[in-house]
Amino acid sequence: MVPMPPKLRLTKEQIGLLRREDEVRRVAAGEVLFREGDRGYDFIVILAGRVAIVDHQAETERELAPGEPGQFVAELGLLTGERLFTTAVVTEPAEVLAVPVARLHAVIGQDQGLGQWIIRTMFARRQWLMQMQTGMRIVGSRSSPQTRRLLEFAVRNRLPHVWLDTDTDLAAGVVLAHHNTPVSQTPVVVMRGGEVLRQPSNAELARAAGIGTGPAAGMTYDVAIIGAGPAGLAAAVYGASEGLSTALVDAVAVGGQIGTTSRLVPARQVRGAGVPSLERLAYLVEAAQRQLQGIRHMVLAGARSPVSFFAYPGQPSDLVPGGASVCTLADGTEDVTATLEALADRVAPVTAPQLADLAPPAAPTGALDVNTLAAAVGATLPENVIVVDAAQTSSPGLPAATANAARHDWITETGGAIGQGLPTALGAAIAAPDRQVCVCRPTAAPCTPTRRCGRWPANRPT
Amino acid sequence: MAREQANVTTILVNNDAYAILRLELQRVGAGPAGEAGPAARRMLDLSDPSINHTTIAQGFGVDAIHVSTADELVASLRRAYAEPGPHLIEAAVPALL
Repeated sequence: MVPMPPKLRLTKEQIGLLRREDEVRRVAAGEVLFREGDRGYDFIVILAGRVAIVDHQAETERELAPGEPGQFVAELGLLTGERLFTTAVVTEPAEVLAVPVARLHAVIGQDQGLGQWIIRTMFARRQWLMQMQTGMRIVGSRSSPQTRRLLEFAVRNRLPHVWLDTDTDLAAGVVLAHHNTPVSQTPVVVMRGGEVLRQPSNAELARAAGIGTGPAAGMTYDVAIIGAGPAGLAAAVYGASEGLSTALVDAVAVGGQIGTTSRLVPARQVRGAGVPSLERLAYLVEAAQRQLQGIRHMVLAGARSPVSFFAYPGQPSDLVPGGASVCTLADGTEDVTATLEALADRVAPVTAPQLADLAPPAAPTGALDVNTLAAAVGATLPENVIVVDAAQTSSPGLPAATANAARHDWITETGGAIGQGLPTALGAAIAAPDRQVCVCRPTAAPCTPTRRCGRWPANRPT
Repeated sequence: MAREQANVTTILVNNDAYAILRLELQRVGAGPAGEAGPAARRMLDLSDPSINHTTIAQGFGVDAIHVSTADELVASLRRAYAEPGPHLIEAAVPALL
């Protein structure tokens, strides 16, 4: 089934906020408003007429969506400077409002409601465009580490892309032939607009896609922050808000371990009554080894082979029991849910899942310790709460005490990102304003007053 | 959180210690934290001074309470979930190690 594009129209009032008469243009049918591969364009609101959003593969044009009066024609990359991967062409004589990006920034800076609406619409559009298989083509073999690196880079940076596997996909050969490229030069990335990158580094791909800015020539920065994880991002915001020229550098993508959490622990897990109860792998090597003892075949679905977070003297880093085989059923670039459903249909078609009952622990009384703390959280947890578990040594009882609580979401600190709890909780609360968030966090974290870092980041202007 | 009036209930588990690092110190072969040298012990002891996180939160205008029994924690959690905006519950819990 082809997913439907999000069809959202600006209201008359919103158009009024954006409109300036000298930016209204009449455009003829056939005129191209912007083109795949372009690096910058105006924010275009269709006032009358029709515009089509199309893309091209080889020489074939495909219509993705119609643009009608009241809609705006712009993509998330307009704000980030990414290169375009769609083309907008006028199909019926039209009148459009072409707002330059700088003025768009000024308008949405003044009207937060409009700004948030535009950004949300852009996110929905990006999700849809990714489902529509737009964007760059990454052509390479599944057994090539270079291909894996490029795919990870695209996934972590949310770059729309299609992977053509030279081992299994006939289309890979067609694309390579079209660009006169032998398989020995793969992985190859074909950008929208036709630019071909042969075995590019992450930095080369970033430059071609227009993400990140690179250092400004001749500029001396006050602060350089290496690593754009949660702490690096916070530091960059503080640096910039204090008026320092700030450079933020990362080898792969913004987000750091938050973007790779699924390799250590599930990034977000739905738990509680009515949901199958899944045990997570323990943090300590010997505890994880006990959980995995006796396993002969490990099947990976959307996860990597488990490893210990830290290396300890005399203890293994690889958690796979000796002699066990490891098989990758689906990696992070494939549809894990559909794969698991297909497998379940094949091997156990009439099996009903075992769902957790609603049976929270009784409210504890008496002295407070890690066990009664966990029971208190489990006993009081309201339905639909988002729990952020960052309590380190005080949290071992929490999963068991909440397994039969009302249905909830669980976000686990990644293991090494001590201090991640509060920023994660604040982010969850802003992303889901109609839900309650409960964060369990320790005294000791890089954000205690024992260190020189603000405990309440949201109190500072950002 | 105060500025955003975010619906976040923070349970700050106060054990006056950097217990995760006591654990890691032990696990890299340095022996039990109690047997570590005085400098290492002091680094991981947060009881001197013992920080009053409840008054710090109140200073930011955040509703905050200190609890030292399970009954108080249960009652405070129920109240925090029922009232919008940020809440801090500082729970005094002995360190595991």
